[in-house]
Amino acid sequence: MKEALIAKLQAGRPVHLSESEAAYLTEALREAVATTLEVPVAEIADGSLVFDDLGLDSIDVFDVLDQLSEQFEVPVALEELPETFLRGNEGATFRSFAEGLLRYFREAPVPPTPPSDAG
Amino acid sequence: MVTHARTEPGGAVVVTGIGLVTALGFGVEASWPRLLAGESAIRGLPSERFTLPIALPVRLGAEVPRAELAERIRGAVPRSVWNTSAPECHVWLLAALEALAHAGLWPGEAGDGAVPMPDADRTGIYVGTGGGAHGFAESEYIRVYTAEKAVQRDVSRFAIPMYMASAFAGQLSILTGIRGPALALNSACSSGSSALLTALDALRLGRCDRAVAGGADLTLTASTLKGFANLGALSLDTAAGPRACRPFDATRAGLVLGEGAACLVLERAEAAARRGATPLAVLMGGAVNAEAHHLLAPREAGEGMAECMQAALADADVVPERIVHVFAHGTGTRQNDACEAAALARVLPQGPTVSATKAQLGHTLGAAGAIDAVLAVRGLQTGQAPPQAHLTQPDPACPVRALREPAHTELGPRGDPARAVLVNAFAFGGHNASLLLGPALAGGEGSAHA
Repeated sequence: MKEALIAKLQAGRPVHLSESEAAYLTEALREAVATTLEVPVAEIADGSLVFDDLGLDSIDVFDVLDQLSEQFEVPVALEELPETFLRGNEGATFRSFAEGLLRYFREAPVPPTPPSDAG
Repeated sequence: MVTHARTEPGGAVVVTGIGLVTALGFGVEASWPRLLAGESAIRGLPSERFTLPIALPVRLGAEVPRAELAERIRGAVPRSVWNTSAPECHVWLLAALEALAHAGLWPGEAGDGAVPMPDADRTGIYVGTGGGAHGFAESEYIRVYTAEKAVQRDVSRFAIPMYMASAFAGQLSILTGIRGPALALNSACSSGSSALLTALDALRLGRCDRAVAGGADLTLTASTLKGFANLGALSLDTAAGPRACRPFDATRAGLVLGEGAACLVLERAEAAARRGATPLAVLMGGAVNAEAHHLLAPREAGEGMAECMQAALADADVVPERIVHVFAHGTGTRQNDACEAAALARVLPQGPTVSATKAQLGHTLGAAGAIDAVLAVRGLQTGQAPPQAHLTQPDPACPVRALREPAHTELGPRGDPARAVLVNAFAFGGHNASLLLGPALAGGEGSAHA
């Protein structure tokens, strides 16, 4: 499963994720959050408020994304992730966090903005 | 020359905790007996240790083992700290936490930043470092250029906060809750001493009541080794192995790089007394100056070094006769040792005992002055100091009274106010620093003034 998923992710976005692949990514995200927070995976419930209940902060989000990049051998562009990932979205649950990550992989990347000539 | 701010009467600055990481061990008590026994941490390092693809003329060094460093920092601080900081910062944090625990200000186990620090807003952090996270930066660049996987060929999200030397102070603040001034200082190889003197000033001026101060450097990177070698400063005496650094010896051939960190908890005496802390020693005073002469060399007869030592004596209000031991800068280079010996002869003609710990610990650059300050505190507590290792043929050009046996020191025991110890640190750029430490009085107030 993992090797096939890595190959799909490395082929580039948008990625068609099966339900089992989406579930695998979700659990990988849960484990990454638990590793970052140094708590048991069981404490990361779907309905947990990732910032308010679990105490994740913006530095922790970087750590979580780095773990996923390392594990799946693909960069995760912070600037293209939904606002759920940003500190300040106080109502974000782990479920919405995971949905945001899956949406990121399922959507085509945003084309880079050409550099401006304006001085 | 900087004249340091004076405390108001009775406002001595005392040392209430010490922490140390050297190539001889993690913790003061891991290094101290081995130093007294004359043991050297200098050894040959394997070529695999250096990933930058340049030819090295020598691979000698006194290394803080990276695997043990990683294991210890992971046991001491939360992931959010060790995962976002460089090994250079880790070695500093371990020394600082040991010092804080020794002072009764840290529980000695992992915290989450919520550990209550008494008077946290009146506590400062002053850390000196010569290279900052230079080794981490070097390894990051190598990784970006050579990683097999494409995803690894990018600069880490944490690169900037890990590179910056100020993170040494920032991470300690985040970890402990300290909210006073938090600074990283650089004056090359006197950085640690400069940090201690800046902390002393802050305490004397009342900018804070307590300071966590010291220095840290991990020096053994390929570019640092090659850089010192290309300057002609490095001992290439591989055959001598642990004896490759020989301060004040006629056969001395240069410095050997070492690694480490040291930290002292400094407190205004009345603040220490208020919380019932026991003073270990007194930081009596000190001075820093600049030579305005040469980027790499001291003035020939050691005039700048002598002026710095004299200014330190004046600042501490100590007469030269009270100095019973000198922790010399003593790098083992031809010029430094001759200049320092000349300066010592001029300032301290009575000839106190001298030892240069770089023979055993290597030159730890920005950590060196702070390491010797910690050893001076232990010396004042125990009446001992490390002997001058590897001195078999004293150089007539270096007429110092080298300490041969640790039991023969004239350091005063605790409670004897008639002794003081001088700690020297000199640096490229002409940055000199001298510290004076004295024993704590048995009553605890701590002023060692006669």
